[in-house]
Amino acid sequence: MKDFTGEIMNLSYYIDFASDDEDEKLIYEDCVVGLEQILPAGVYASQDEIKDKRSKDLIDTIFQKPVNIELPANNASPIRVQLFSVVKGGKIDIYIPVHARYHRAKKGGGTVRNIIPSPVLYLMCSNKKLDLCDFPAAASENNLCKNDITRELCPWKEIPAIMVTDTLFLDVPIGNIDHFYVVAWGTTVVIVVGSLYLLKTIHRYKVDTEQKLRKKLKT
Amino acid sequence: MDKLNKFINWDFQTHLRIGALIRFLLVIYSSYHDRHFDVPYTDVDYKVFIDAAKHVYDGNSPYKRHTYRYSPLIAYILLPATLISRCAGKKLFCIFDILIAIALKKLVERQLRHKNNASTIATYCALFWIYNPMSIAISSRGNADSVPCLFVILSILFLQTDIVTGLIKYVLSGFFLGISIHLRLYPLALSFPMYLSLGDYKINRSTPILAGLASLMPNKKQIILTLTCVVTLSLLTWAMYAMYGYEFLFETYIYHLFRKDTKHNFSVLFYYSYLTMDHLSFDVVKTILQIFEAIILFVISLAFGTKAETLPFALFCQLVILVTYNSVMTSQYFIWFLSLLPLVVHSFKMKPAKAFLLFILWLSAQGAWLFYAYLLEFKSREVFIFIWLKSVVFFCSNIFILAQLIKSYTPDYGFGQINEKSDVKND
Repeated sequence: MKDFTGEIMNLSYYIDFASDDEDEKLIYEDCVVGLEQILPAGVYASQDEIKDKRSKDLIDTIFQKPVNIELPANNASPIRVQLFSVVKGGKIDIYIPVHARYHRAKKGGGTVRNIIPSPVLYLMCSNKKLDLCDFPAAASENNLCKNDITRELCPWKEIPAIMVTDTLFLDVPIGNIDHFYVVAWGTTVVIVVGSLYLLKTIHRYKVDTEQKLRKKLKT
Repeated sequence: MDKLNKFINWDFQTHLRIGALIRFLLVIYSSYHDRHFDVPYTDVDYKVFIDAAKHVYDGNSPYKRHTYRYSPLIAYILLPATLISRCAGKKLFCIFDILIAIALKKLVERQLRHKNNASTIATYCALFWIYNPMSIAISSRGNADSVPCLFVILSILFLQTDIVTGLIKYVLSGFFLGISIHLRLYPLALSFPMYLSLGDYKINRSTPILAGLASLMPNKKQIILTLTCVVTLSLLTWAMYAMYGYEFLFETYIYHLFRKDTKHNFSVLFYYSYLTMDHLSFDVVKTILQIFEAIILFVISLAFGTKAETLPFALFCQLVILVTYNSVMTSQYFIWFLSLLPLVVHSFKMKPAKAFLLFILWLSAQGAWLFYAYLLEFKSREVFIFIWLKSVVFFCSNIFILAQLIKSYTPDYGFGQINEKSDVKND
């Protein structure tokens, strides 16, 4: 996973399934990877954007609930998104675009840190290949299997993964409440002065036009 | 310079073909661009329109598509995009663009019909739309704003020309105005000056009160225009409400009326709205803005809307004010007044150098704002106060430019190339 700055960025996942071990690599080859990522309330992913701009190895994306991309952070909830890919050559390399939501302004401004937790990794392999590994017989509770499928029958197995990056976070700049009086008064003054200037211009134009018309009529 | 003059003086049909070609080539390019670049060429809203059209095709409500906040008519217009090709909608918007150019030329020709070179001046004016990068980008990117613009211009065309004679022209004008208000709320502001332009107000200091009041009574033309507009708008609204219920009313109108978008945008009100997000029960600054906006719109209507010859300028100024004073301002709104610029551009008695400087001022003010917006969005810098300062600069530049246009407004100036039918006059 990669650090990123700015409001628009890609959340990338590079997972190596023992790609340097030819024997072990075969176990995972062509297995379907399911990554369950929780995005904090201050960050969102757009279903439309993922459809248009997702990485070519990302075969599907499922959002637990529809995402309202217009909500500010204080009105939004964390998002659970499931990403699916297939292991090829012992690796997967996928990304999704994510965005920062607007956060409420605070005294002093600054930034708000949004911690993006590590995703949970699941694998689904054919021919019970994963039985060769030391995983529990019954899958742990997960959201990838439907409710009517028992844990024993659920083909998805949670895989322990070693994170090689630090915890990912996104610092989002926020407005400064201390600016309020300057901004409120400044905005008001600009509106009033600008409007009066425009009204004066219209009045001046009409007076000049009337004078020209009277001069023309006299001559 | 000679080559430029030669190009400008090509006939109108050739310019229309070139304008159409540029737009269609960009539509084709948009498919390539979207596949190969991170920042898409196609407007985000185009996908929303197409998805809504697909829902309509499947017999569902277009509002099943999240963030579809337009009249169902737009989804109906884009049904061919679900059947023919994904780009069919963009091509349709480009066709609307070209129709706008044709309508604008007809309007200017009628405005200057007593002049010898009216057709040439009208062609020059139409070029301001055909080769306007904004209008080209808007339609080829799949933005639907050219649709209400066309209906506004058609309404003005029937109101101010004799393409159709008799009272039927006011029926047609009211009909198209009603459709344009149904599609977008902003043409509602244009209805008052359009109404006033049909009156015959001979009021001065010596007019008796009763006579003055009598002249304010609506005449037949005004009543027909108003009634047709109201009936068209009511029928369309009732039909859509009958089909889609409250969701139609909310998404198409109520959401836009009470919209509180606190994300950064060009509006002078943006940072204030963001800092007071959810805090205020009564928004004083916004109220002051709206009061001044209403006063200016009313004054412009009285100053320029009471005469047919100055009506296009009244409408142009009104749209500039609507956009400038809006609590949310994005680039796509500029097309509202840019679509009426060709109707008035020939009436500005201004040196080309000054016009160019005003244009550069307008662009520079936007560029300065965009720079700080880029720092915020892509570099995560805390630059809200600078974005606000640039939005203040943009507000002031809009007011200043409009004031300069008002000062230089000379009806029938015709780029200084007016040739009267009886004698030659060159400025």
